Amino acid sequence: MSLPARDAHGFLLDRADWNEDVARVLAAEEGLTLGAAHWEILYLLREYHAAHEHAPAMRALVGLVRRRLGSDKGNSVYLLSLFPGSPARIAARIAGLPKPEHCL
Amino acid sequence: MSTQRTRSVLVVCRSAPYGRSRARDAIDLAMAFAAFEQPVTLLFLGEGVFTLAGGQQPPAGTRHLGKLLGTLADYGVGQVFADAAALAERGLAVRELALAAEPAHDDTLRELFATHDRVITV
Amino acid sequence: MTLHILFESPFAGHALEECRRVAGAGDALLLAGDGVYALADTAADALHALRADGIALFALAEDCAARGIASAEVPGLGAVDYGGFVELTLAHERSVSWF
Repeated sequence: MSLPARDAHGFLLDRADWNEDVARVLAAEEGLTLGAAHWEILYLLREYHAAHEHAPAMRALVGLVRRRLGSDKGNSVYLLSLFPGSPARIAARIAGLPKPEHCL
Repeated sequence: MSTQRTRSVLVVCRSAPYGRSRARDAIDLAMAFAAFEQPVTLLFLGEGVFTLAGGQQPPAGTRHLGKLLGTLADYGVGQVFADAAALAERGLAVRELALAAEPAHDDTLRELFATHDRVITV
Repeated sequence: MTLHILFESPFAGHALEECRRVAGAGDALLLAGDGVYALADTAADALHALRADGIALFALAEDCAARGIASAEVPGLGAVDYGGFVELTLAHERSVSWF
């Protein structure tokens, strides 16, 4: 499939262009195959962005997941296992959100 | 080998939102300190309390600061204060705010300035 | 103890007023840039109030001179050069800029 317009870092320009097929292609670029555990985080991120117009950096992402899904998932080890490398940045990208602002 | 010392920071927002970028800069600065695990307190002083006003509806393409305020707790910016006199003077004391900041009277303001290692006014 | 540095004219905004509300005894206020307009006779009340609250007053001599303000004639005011500015920042735990 052809992907919607993206910025130089591969983030969607318009989050309305996002759907699950787009997410699967974006995930494949990261070498990831999305499962239920990924979708849970991706939808949580999209909901958070809809409310705050903000893609959370790592610390905020961990706190958000902990609050909403419990401490088994709200920790950096779990998030790194799903989105290896840089969970906040990679998950935001696959979720069709802009790059987290306070993220290295 | 050097050890990193943690310093508490007070970020003071003194500008109303949207007319200039200062209010947004202040919020961003507080979030950036918090993202790097630095203890940070945010204070809305004087005209800055307008940033807390509820019902903001900025046009598309303009960052919604009222919504952004809702992310502060997620970054660990636990303490957010608002100049109580400025809120009252601007008719905001009785209005619903975008964020329930703690009203600070002058003695609290003096304490905030005297007890943080660094103070940055924006 | 805090060094407050005022860069804004008291006739242009509320920086001096806000500084006065948060400053405490033992703090110092340095007037720099347009902040030296706080030395105008018509702004004297604010400076008197600061002094009464135990706040030491200084002004950057060069910025006063540039604007035609005779800082030496203001009683209780310390005129400093840039070296003095640096010494003041070193002598206080923190500096707060008001602009």
